[in-house]
This record gives sequence, C-alpha cells and structure tokens, in this order.
Amino acid sequence: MNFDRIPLSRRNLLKAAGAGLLAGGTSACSSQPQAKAPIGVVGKDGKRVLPWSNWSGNQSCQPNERLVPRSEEQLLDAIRNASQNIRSVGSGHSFSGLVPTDQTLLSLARLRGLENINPETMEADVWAGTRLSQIGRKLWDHGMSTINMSDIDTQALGGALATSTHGTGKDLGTLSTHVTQMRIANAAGEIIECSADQNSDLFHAAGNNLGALGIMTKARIKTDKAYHLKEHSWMMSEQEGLERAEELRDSHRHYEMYALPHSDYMLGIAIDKVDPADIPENQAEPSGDAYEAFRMMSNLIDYMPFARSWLVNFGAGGVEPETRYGKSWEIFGNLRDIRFNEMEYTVPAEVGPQCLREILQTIKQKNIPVIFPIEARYIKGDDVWLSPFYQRDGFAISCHNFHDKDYKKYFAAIEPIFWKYDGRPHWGKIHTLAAKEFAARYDRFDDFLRVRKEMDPDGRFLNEHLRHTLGV
Amino acid sequence: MRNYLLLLLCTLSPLSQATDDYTVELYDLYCTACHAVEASGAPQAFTDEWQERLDKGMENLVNNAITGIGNMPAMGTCVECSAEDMEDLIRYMAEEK
Repeated sequence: MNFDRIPLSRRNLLKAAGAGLLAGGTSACSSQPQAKAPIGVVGKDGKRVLPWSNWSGNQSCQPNERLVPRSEEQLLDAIRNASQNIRSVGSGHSFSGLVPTDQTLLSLARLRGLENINPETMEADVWAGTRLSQIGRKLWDHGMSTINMSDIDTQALGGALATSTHGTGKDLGTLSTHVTQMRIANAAGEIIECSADQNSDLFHAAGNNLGALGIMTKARIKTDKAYHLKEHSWMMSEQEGLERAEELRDSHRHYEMYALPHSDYMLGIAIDKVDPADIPENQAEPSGDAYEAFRMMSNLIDYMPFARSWLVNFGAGGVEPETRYGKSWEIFGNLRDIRFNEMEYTVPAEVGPQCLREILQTIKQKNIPVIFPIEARYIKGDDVWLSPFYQRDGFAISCHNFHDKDYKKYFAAIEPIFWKYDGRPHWGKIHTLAAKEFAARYDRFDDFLRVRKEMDPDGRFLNEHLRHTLGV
Repeated sequence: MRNYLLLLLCTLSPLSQATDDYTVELYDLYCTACHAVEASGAPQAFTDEWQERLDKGMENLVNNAITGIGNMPAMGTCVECSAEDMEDLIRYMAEEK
C-alpha cells in the first residue's frame, strides 16, 4: 500500500471543513518520556539480546540469541553448531507470526548486495539480505531493471521470496517467478542449489518457502532491459472502477485500484513503459500528502463518526488526475514506510471485482469504522506450490487499518467474504487459517511438507505459528 | 593528566566522534526513508531537532528506537542493529551540517 500514489492533500480537506475544526480534531499531545532501563535480556555470551517486533508492531518476541552472519560460511557454521531452533527474519514486514521465537533469531542483513550482474543474459545474483529497494538502483547502473516490483520495497529479498511478494500486472507474476536459481542452507548446514532443472521439487517449494525449508542465502533473478515508466492516477466512481476493472487491467502493463471505504469513489493507478523521449522536461510536483490527509480524516471521524461518508467523499471528490514519470525503480519505489496492519487474500481473477464490491458493501452495511483504502491488484498465476497464485491468475485484495487502530473486528467481518470466493491468504499477512484449510486450498501442500522434512527432519527452522499453519 | 583530559573531552563531546562507514551504510539503508523525508514527521537528520531529545537522555532515545515509537517501526526495521548501532546512528543523525 503506497500512500504516495494517492494525490490527496490535507490542504483540500482543511479548505472543506474549516481549519480550526480539523486542527482541533487532529492535535496530538505527547507525554514526557520516562527514563527507562536498558531493554532486552543477557545472552549466553554475556551480551545484550534485544527484543524483536515486526514493522507494524502486532508481532513481537524476545529471542535468547540473535545471529547476524557476515558470510555464507558463518551461516553454515551457525546452523551446524546450533543447539536450539532458528527462525530467520528479513525486514520484519510480515504481519503473521512467521518470525517470533524465544530461541535463535537469525538475520541475513549482512549478506546483501548484487553479484554477477550480466547484461547479456539479463540475470543477476542477489543475496537474500538485500533490500528490494536496492536492487533496481544497482541494476540501473548496468542498463537493467527489475521486471516488476512490489509497491512497498523495503523488504529483504529473502523474506519477499518466502511469502510470494508481488506487484501488479496481468502478465506479471510474483517476484518469485523471476527467480531462476536459489541457494538454500538445510538443517545439516549444507547448501542445496535448486532451479527448474536441478532439485526442481525444492525449487517449486522454495518460491514460497515461509523460511520453513532452510535459510535461502542467494537467488539468481531474471531482469529486463532498463526502462522508464509513466504512472497515471485518477479518481472515478466506485461503480465505474468495478465495471472497468478488467478493461483497464488489459490495457496497461500494471493496473491497480484503491477503493475508499464509505465513499462513492475509487482511485485507478495505471503504469506503463514510456520512451524517455516522451517524458516532459518539467514534471508537476506531487500534490498530495495522502497519508497525513487520511490520518487527519481518521482522527476527525473518531470525534464525528456521523460525518464519515461525507468527509471521505469530499476528500476523494477533490482529487485531480496526476501523472509522473521516472526510471523504473523510481516509480516502483515507495520512499516512506507507513505503518499499518493488513489482511490480503487472493481470489480468482474473474471474480475479483465482485468480491471487492461485496467487501465495500459489507463495510457500509455493518458501519465498520475504517477509511483506510483497500488495494486491489491483478497478478499472473504461477507454479509455486504454496503461492496464492498457484495455477490461477489472481486478484489480490488488501485490507488495512492504521497500525495503532483496532483491525481485528474489521478483518473478522471481511475474512468470510474471501472464503466465499475461494480466497487464499497471503502467508505473511493476517489470517486465521490453519493446516487443514491450507491443505484444502493447495494441491501440492503435502509435497511441500515432504520437501520440508527432507531439508529439516527435526523441525529446527519451525516456530509455533508454522507448526500450526503447516500441521507439523 | 593528558589522557584524563582526552577522556574528559570525549565524554563531554559525544557528537564530535568520527562516524564509521558502517554507521553511514546503516543510515542510508534504514533511516533515510523517514529521517530524510520531512513529510514523515520524524526528526530530520543533521538538523537541530535532536538536541531537545538528547537532553532527555540517550537511553530513552535508544529504547524508543528499539521498541518503535509513533510511526517508527521497532529498530527502524534494522534487524542487524545492536543497541550500540542504534546509539551510533542517533549520534550521527544528531550532527548538524
């Protein structure tokens, strides 16, 4: 969810409702910080071990050991010498319980960077600890671009590939579908290489590995020749947005929608390749500070819930079309990392708009107190065993709420709608499914468990959440 | 006596220490998304927005960074960082340029 794609500003809202009123509703007061003692625990080596919390703050743990290996050899030694379970963490962007452990928490952040960047084969090797945002910039220096990118790009590659992280595009699959080879450390501390032709079962399982197969250290990715992008966003009615979804999907390289709960509007965002010669010299400055505008609206609605629809409609009605251009990684990128909690399910592409319509209607009918935009994206199907897009083109619907607002009632009301449309949850986002439900949704679920057992017979890479969701 | 004076000088001038390359790398990777973007609302690096916070104690600042505060996620998502790294980053960002 990239707020910077919404050309909405506080200025327009203030004009609408009166600066004094809005300012009053959004004033923040902070308490004087109290002196605190150092936090964390003392590890076996006598050093301080810090607690861990994910990006939004809904998952946390206190490991008794943290490891940050500086080389693949150090990682393998650590696995061979481990006396307890190990969970790996990327950049902590998962909202589900994939990471928490009270044992060893391992980060590959020091295994980062790109190698073997080859403009002839259009491939590059990327260490698992590399932030997605770093990949496009580095490739650009070699005349290359990533084929696609997620709209939040602060994740580590290892975590992104573990959970089928995706962008949008009818003909574009998840980031895992751009991978041609992987190196994975198993529980014996050995590197196993895999590709479509070598250890192919492991390869098809590893594209959505949940960190349950071992520690993926490096991946070879396919790339595209460096390209520029044009992003155009415009507000339309909710009705038009739902009716034209497939047409707009088919006419753009990337197309996504931001539906605004309790409003009559929907934002369309279309992104296409553009010839650099067609990029205007003087580009308009981005007009919006959308996150702040939504935050302001949300705070105000807390005081005046009866004004919710009017306020959201007024804000949306004032949004003007906006176009921006840039290098691929500039347009894909998301500089600001706004915190929220999220549930995302992928339903079959052909019923996507219908499912989205039912969600929006339910929010209105049940008067669910949420105004955070709902993001909807088309993604191409793939052959990754536990991918939400396994053998079917998908329509991913992402429901969010601010990180400090209650999300549980909202998601509890929406999740059964996803089930009705045969939805599959994003493994790294909030859901309530367990092994039985996953097994019913994935033909190769048992095959994944078989590969997991081969890589990690004693379950040393598992935590409580994974035991629950995989039924191990 | 000379060593004592040097030690005293170091203790009294915590912001004047040289910043190592690793701290700068961490800053570029994890901090710039908010501490170099005014719209984020986070205290901006290399400005005078830090002194008041520093006056309340480095331990407070480090603890807030570890647990997360406001829109800042825990550790600023720097999973590789130690408490010492967080302190180095705060000192680095508090340097006025």
